[in-house]
Amino acid sequence: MDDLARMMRAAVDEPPPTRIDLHRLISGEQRRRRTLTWASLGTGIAAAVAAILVVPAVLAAPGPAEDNLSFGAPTSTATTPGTPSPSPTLCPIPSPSGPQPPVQSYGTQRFRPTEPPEQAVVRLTMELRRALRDELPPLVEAEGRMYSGCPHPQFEFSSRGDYVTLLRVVRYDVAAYLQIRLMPTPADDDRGCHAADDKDACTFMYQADESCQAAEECTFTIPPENGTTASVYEESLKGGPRRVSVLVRRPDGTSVLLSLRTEPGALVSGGQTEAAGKELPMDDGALFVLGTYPGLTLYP
Amino acid sequence: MSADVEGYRDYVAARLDQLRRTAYLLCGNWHTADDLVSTALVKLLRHWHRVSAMENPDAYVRRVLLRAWLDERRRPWRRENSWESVPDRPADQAGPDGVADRLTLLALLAELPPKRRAVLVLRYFCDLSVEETARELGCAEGTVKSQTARAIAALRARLAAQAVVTEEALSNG
Repeated sequence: MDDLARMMRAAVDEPPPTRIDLHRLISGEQRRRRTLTWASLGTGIAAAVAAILVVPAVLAAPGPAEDNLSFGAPTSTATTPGTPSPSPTLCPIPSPSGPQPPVQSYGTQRFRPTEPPEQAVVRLTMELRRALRDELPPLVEAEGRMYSGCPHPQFEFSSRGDYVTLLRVVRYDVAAYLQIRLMPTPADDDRGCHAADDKDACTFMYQADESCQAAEECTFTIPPENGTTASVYEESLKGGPRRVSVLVRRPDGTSVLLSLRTEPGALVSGGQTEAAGKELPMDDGALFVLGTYPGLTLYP
Repeated sequence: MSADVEGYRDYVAARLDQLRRTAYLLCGNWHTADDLVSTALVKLLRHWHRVSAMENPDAYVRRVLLRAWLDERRRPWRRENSWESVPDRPADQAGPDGVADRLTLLALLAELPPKRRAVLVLRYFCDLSVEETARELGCAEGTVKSQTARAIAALRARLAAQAVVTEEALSNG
């Protein structure tokens, strides 16, 4: 099979210039190591501080702790018996701006998650940070852009009963905004894109995001795997930005909507902002991997 | 660390071209090939201190590259639909630079199951022995032999079928 070897060599004898920037790859990895070191140090200090604060309170408690969490209470009350001690790296969590919506408005036959929101925010935030640490593609970095201004990746509880976070993700010079929303899977989910290919059916997913218009393109639906289904949507928005959304429906009843979009001015090159481009720092596959991260569930 | 990085930089500079070519033959797309190589290089950098002391760091990098590609292939949205037959391409459209031949080879490789394609690339492009190929793919030597034989038989059949199509096209044209 000398011919095969010859044909293979001929097929690759004129490679195009590489896109791999070794210098950037090395500096990105060094930055990641520094971040991990500081994060580990911070976590260790946080754990020590939490232990110092919580252990005396637990020892002094007369009996089983009363679950006195109130809806939307800030988790900074770390010493309250019965509550998990949140990491000090969590930003203050704003209370939901309105009353919890009635169960019927969810359109779901599933039980509303019973975990108190202030506990769920802490748990989901920790899982989110683990997912970002373990599952982001190489050279992609994420930082928090929570609506309330938190610089760290962190979920917040919305008045609609969802958990949502906004991140900024960067790979090389390409940056984009990533919104992750966790919500119970609607009972009437069958009318969604995983059941139909026509784009009209895709509009249902944007009921979860009122700021979105109907999808211009419905690309494809990922076949079910281990009970998980996902739909991928790609669209060009007015003014040039591009958005890729992945809706993951987990078998436990949690839907995870991940929307990645370029924003005008979100591209950074040499410290300069540029007009929005079409390139995104992650693809639908990477979004799917994040959406299927085991800890990102409303039903732990 | 800086000495480590310099060693890493030198190593990558010497192997980058070959790694890209190998990745391209595996995935058939230069863009994806660069992504796969980037993934492999990042993992290599993370473990460079250990890998640089290995007897054969190239084998480690190839293994990481292969695993990255196989992982990529396993993702459901990356599953490619195999063509029922190689696209008809009469010989008079081949052009002087052999572009058609390259496309044909890539199309033929793309039709093979991932592991079979990997076996061919490792054996006939990377010039690895059966034993080395088995070690890098984590399978038995017998598996490598059988996969090689089946892949070559499939390629021969496809090439023969294509030759018939080409002859018919020439005689009709």
